[in-house]
Amino acid sequence: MSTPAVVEKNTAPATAPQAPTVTGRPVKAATKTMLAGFDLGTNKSCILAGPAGTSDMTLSKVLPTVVGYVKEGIVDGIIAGNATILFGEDALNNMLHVDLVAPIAEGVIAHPAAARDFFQRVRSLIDPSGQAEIRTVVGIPANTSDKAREDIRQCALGIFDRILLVPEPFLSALGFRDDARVGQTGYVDPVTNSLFIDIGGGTSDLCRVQGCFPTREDQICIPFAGDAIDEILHSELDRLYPNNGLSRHKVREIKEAHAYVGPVRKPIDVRVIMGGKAHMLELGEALGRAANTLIDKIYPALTTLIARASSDSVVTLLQNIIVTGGGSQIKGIDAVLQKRLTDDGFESPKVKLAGQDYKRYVAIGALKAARAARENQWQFLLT
Amino acid sequence: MSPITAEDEFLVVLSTVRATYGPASINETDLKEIVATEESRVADAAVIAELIASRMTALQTSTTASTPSAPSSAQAETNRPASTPAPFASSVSTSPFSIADLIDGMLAQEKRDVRQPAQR
Repeated sequence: MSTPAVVEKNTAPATAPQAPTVTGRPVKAATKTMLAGFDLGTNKSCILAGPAGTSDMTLSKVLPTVVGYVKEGIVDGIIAGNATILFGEDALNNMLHVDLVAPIAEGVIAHPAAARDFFQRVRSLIDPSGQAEIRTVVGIPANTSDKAREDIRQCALGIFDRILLVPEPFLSALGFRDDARVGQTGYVDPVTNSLFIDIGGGTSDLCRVQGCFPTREDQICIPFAGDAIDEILHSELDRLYPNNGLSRHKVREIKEAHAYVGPVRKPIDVRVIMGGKAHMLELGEALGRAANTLIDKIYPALTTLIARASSDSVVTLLQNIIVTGGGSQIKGIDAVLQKRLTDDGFESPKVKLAGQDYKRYVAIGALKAARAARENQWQFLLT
Repeated sequence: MSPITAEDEFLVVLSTVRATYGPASINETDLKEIVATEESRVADAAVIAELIASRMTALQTSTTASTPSAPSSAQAETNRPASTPAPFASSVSTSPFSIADLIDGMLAQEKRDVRQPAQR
């Protein structure tokens, strides 16, 4: 294992850090501190940020987690500002002219150099002046390995000043929690007793949240999520319509618009352009087969976590199963999971969807955590 | 009968404009961009509301504070003996669970995991 890039500093002062070993940028007295909640997703990241000590939010952005390195030989003026690196939508919009690199795969860093460039971009969004101290809570998949955690810290070294890595499903629970309603009659605090299913691009994370920080036993991470569904759907398309020429990006679009789980829905006619001509493809079975695979993967993990709950808590837990992340947009996912639980004899289960703001719950939770973290809980990034 | 939503109203207006000025009067790409922009604004507003809600609740609680013999959760948090006060916390949750305590639990768990790597 490499040298850890982090150290806890229990007696850290409340002012800007003076640690001489912080590297990357010159060590200087920061003029202000910015707190950020950073949902580092495989396909999309969400960043919320604001100055420390306030409830102001100066940044709220969803950014595709992709870096585009401009190809050599592109003539001046094609890329705005003749930039050499593009990020997010800019990179995707110029995919003809860039080499696209996805820094994250299955929830962990796959391309460290691209990840550092992406982090640098995130930093510049949080603090365009480049002068502030940046403290960020980063969402990571449940049960992320030590090595994967260390990879994130190494990539953040010299870009962010202090960091906290917190499992995404727990941050989802914090983000989903309506603080203003906590304590009101009829409001069930999701942090008290709930089970979150966070289906992202690279991983599906399941987590029981029962009033204390989830242990490893409370969390299960499955390396099967949106991207895996895309792959299955792409294979089906290739089988049904050889030489279709559809890009992975297009396949993802089709999935996001039409994916469903449960019994086969037919017909689902999808208009696509192949070889310059419009075609109408019937994809009912293909979409169902691809998305139902997700249910087969996450259901055993769901029942495992339910079985691990104490008899005192399990009935309430079953009433608070919440699906979030991009996978929550798959049509019927709540109903299908609830029906399977009911059919298997679980006591009055209720599976709910987190809602349209699913992209931001992890980042909201992360920013809440950043604002609540005590001084001694932040970790310095060191060489 | 379900109430008319803003989306319903928008669709009615859109249909009227298209019926009056022709189907090409509103560019589909422009329309998508406008809808995306507005969706983003609504999402931002929701996030801001979410984040300031706890602060407003805390302010409300402090104005209706109980007697000194029954300190609020905010005071209890401030009096926490084991650690430095959180200078950057924008507010202290009035809920039974302190996020900082939950983070303590996470960090303690990480330390245990470091000490017992063989069990993982």
